[in-house]
Amino acid sequence: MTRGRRRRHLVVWLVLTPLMLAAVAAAVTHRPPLPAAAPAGTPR
Amino acid sequence: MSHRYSAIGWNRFKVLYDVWMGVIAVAFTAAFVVAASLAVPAGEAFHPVQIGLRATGAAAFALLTLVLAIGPAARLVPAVRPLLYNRRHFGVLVCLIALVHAGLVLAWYYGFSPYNPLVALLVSRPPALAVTAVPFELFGLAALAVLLLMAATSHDHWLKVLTPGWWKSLHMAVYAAYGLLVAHVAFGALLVERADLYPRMLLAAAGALAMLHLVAGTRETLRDRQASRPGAWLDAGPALDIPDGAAVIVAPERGERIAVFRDGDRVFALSNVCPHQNGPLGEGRIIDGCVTCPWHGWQYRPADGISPPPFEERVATYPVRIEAGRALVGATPLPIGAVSPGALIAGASA
Repeated sequence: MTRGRRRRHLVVWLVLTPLMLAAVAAAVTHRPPLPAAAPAGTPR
Repeated sequence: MSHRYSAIGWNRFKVLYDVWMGVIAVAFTAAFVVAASLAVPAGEAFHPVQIGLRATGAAAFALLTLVLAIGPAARLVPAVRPLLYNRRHFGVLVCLIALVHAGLVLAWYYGFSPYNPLVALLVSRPPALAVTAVPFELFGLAALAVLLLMAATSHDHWLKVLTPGWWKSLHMAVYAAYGLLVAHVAFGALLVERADLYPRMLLAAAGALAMLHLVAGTRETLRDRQASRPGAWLDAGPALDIPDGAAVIVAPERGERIAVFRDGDRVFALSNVCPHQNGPLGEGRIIDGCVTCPWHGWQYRPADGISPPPFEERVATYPVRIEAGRALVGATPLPIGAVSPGALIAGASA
């Protein structure tokens, strides 16, 4: 691998990593809520 | 390496590699199908096609993560290096699985549309500024387009036509494809799945891959700085400390790294960059009297940097001299093809 490519490689991952984390974080915070647990004794 | 043209130069290692690759892909997909079938919540029903399209999507993502982990892992753990060889077959397999996933998605969700299924996919989601309305299908489609382009050019013919520099630049688009796939999964599957297992798995895969690349990349950058030597002659250290048949790597202040090989009682210096795919020659060994690239086995004679006949590839060689037992390498390459007898190490047993 050439010196320039090694540098570009690192830059790509320095940019890509926060973007990926941001996408996952945005999705996780907008997921549908879990259904509330039914009170004890509720017929199924 | 073969001087006669064959579409794919098969050998025992490649066949074994491909068999194992197929086994891993089939085992992962089968395990996913079984686990997903068992985990269907009570009162809900999944058609086998739905489970199949998720299984193939998950397999493509998991295998792409694995393929992209091989490069940095090989830089950190030399035992992983053999996996670099034939890695492109792995990439083509990922593309094929992704195609099956896309085909199942189009058939299942858009097959009954009055439009062409691909057109239906592109126009089905009205534009909206909300996280829950992000067109995740387009991310998947764009990633698939990149994978298709890469699979189509994953052959030495295209490597030669495009030249290694451009070919490598084109194939770096796979990192963009991976980012698009993370967005595809995040804004697609994660928004409809309530189990915490899915975001954890996605974070673990993408996070581990990113860490591997960042750690390996940082280490290589630091190594460039540490290996850099000022001046017209670069000190490669005690000549007898260079393992016989292997190399140490030095770098001039500007330009590419130089591999300093010891072959018995002689020391030779060549460019560290293999012309084939820019593999690190200095991490290879001398086999049958030739410096052999660790990535795909391309070979060069240490004295003149030329591949043995009938091949004609060349790498630059550098002047070497021994002073007080230390190997000194000239920072300026010799004319391409010039023969350098190497430097004799006094007191070394050949």
